[in-house]
Amino acid sequence: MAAKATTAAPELVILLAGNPNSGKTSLFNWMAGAHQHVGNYPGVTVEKKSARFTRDGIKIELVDLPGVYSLLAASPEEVIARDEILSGTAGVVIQVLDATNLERNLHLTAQLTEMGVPVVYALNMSDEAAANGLVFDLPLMGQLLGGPVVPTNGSTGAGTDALLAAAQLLAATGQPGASRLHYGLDIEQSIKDIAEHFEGDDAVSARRRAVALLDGMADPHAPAAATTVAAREAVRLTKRGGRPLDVQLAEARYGFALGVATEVVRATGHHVRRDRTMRIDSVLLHRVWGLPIFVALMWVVFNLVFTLGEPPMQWIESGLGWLAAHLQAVWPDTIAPLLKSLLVDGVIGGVGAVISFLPNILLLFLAIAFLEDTGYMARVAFLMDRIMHKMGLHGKSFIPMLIGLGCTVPAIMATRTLEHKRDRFTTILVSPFVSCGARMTIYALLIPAFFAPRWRGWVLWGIYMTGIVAAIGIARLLRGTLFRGETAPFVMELPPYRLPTWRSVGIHMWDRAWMYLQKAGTIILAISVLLWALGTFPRRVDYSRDYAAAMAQAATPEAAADLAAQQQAETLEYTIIGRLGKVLEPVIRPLGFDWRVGTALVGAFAAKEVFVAQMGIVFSLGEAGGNPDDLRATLRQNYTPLQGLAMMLFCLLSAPCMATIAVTRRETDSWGWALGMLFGMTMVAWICTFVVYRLGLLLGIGVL
Amino acid sequence: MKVERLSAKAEDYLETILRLSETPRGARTGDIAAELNVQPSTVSAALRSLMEQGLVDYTPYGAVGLTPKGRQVAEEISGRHVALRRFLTETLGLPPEDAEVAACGMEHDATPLVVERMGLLGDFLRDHPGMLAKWLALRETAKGERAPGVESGLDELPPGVRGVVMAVDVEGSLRKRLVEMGVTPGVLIAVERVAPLGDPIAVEVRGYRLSMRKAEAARIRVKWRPGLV
Repeated sequence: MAAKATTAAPELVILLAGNPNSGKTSLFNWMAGAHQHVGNYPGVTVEKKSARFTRDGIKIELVDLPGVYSLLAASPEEVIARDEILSGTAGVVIQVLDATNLERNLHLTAQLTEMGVPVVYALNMSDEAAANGLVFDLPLMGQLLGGPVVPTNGSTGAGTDALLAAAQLLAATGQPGASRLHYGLDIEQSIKDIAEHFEGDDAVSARRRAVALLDGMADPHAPAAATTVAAREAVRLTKRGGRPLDVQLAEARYGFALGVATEVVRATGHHVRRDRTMRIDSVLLHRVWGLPIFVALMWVVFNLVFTLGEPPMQWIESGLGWLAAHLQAVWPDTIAPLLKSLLVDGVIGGVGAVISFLPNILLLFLAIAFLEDTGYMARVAFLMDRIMHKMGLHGKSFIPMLIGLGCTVPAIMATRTLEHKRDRFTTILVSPFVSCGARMTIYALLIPAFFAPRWRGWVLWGIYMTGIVAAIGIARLLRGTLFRGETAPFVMELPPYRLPTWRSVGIHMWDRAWMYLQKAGTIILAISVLLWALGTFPRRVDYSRDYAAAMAQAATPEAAADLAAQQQAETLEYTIIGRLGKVLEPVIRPLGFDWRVGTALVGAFAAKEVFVAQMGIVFSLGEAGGNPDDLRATLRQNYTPLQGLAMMLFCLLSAPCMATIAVTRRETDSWGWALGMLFGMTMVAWICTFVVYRLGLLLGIGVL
Repeated sequence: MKVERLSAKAEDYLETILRLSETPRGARTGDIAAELNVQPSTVSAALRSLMEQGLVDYTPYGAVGLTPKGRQVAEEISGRHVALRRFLTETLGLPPEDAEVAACGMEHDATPLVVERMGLLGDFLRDHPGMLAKWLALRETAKGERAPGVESGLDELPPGVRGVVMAVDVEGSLRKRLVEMGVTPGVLIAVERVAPLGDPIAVEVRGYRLSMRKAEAARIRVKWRPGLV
């Protein structure tokens, strides 16, 4: 506020605070329009949404704080919300109140009024509340809360302009709200005694910090005297009240909330919304039908994402293919052939890896945004928590694991719904064990090559189950070591069912997709170019024979193609990737792999399906592989079924593709976890494959 | 044949008439009045009403008899009465006088299902001497001095029954989370439903829905309240 007085072009920061599910983000979207910007708060993966715009000649920055139930700073979201409010940059705070659930929303108000900032209240969903037969006394409410109250509607945007006007007006007068919260004579006396020791603070801040100390929150900058008095008083008040002090403080806040709610709300009729939610729940959470309905819904989501996403994915791929072919044709080989190769094979390939996922990701986020905004996502966690808890995970971990069957990248991005770091990271680290669609192409090549038709289904089933068992095992291992401790409590709101607007679902979807493109995309592109370089350099100039001449003399086109493929194999063998395969050979020899498998595995890091193409190249069958049956026959000549199984097992468990690593880096905000995942999984894969291969050799199974 | 439910008073009359009619004197107005501790004139009025319903045969100054329909009703009430008294004395171990008083009050409202299941519980205990012995020892600990009411963990509160939160016996961040979500002492709470797999549960508190695991709910003490949600 001090800055406003001095700068010529005053800037007003407005913070939007409120409970989760209060419709805060919809209001933000209405007010921010096209100006919004999504980022992260520094150091944490909590999303920061903000928007800058000018209204009535004043430059305004509107920040959507994370939705919280409390400002005690017990979670990263609460820390951010509290710190932003207290940072001193905020001219005014808007608290969004869900009019249909006023009592619990006002609990946050009780804490907010102690912050000493001007507060405007948005009575959101007031239309819904009116339908429920609730009538509000707005002037009285404003008087009791110490700030103007503006009725709003998140689905139509009604009232948002009046809300901004009220916020600007309040900011101009700069009148901070006064707290009407009274904790009772005894506690109030203790608060005064503690507050005295905060000498540098003003009265409001001293009181707030005193209350926080009594609430058991650590305050490293508090004077020693204050901490001592607080500790003594906490013991005394606990004894006197007969229950923990933080419980007594919460009771007082809820006393305030209930008091205000009773004063300002008049119920004239029946609770329509509550009844509707209960009716829907009695179907969707039915004792018998709840789970089948859930499975059916997931089937629909899955199909939506991976079947509807397929055609646009093909269009993008064929479009890029056309572009690459076109470039190949018009760009003469004589001019900068390396740059051409970089563009065609590296950049276009890399961009393809990024945006060919985009249709899937958009559809997935559309489905997730819809399920979240309707309120069903909380129910999914409710339905699945029993099973997931046994695995050491949280009910909300289920959706990411399921999505992982299609693709691990969106699966890891879907872990954002998990609030607690322990649960979220465990879920991120085990989701790659679930066989994704790309790994299916490897199984589709290898299984028919090595196994009799009647065994094929079983082998495939076994591979998928192995992945799931590995995920469970590693999850339990992680929970026992790195992420030791209780699973996060399941104390979670089941919000009322609401029909989301397409606008809010669309914005929700686009925000996340854009983030994927920006952050994961750049990393994927970089790794693609790197892999291109590894597969291109050093370039071979002298071959074992003169292929150009031989091809010119070839009798049939088949013979020429054969020669071209042989040349390609020789080229690959000479490159760093080819050499890496050879360097790796001693390491992967115990697993029954030779350098050719090693080369294919390095290539598979770009994308799992590359494994198939690389095998085609190293066996001189050409990249397209022509007929996959030729490749299968060649494989059958060179490897035993046991080796085939080992390859599949290794591909299943080993280093996930670079996109997974990139997205892990982005979602954990740390290269440590991303690389840890890479090495950890590769180690797990090596050990498992070694055990299986050696056991197989020992028992003489599948060695012929 | 289904008999319409009579008033408690009418049931008492029929039961008394049945008992007296089995004595040599038969059931006479004066004796009925003495048994039920009311004025003979009241008895006359009541008997007329019962006669209109086709339950008794009655001529002034003669013995009162039961019609077949009246006898059936009277037998049923009397059966409930003795079944309840047996349960109260043998299973619950009440003194005969107390059991008689309680049975008189309960016989009118206890449904056939209640009486039958009480009987089954008594049979079950008699058939299992080991359990009976344990039960006999346990029932001695209750002297009828404790304040009535049921207090349990929230996980044991049956769906549809309201409870008042007495205490939140949790430590640390879980307690903070619970109280800030509004589960504070004194608040009304009800279990709305249990997840299909048996855990977690959904409760209603302060006008909204909250889910928690049973292990978490078990540490919230609630006192059960009468009436269904």
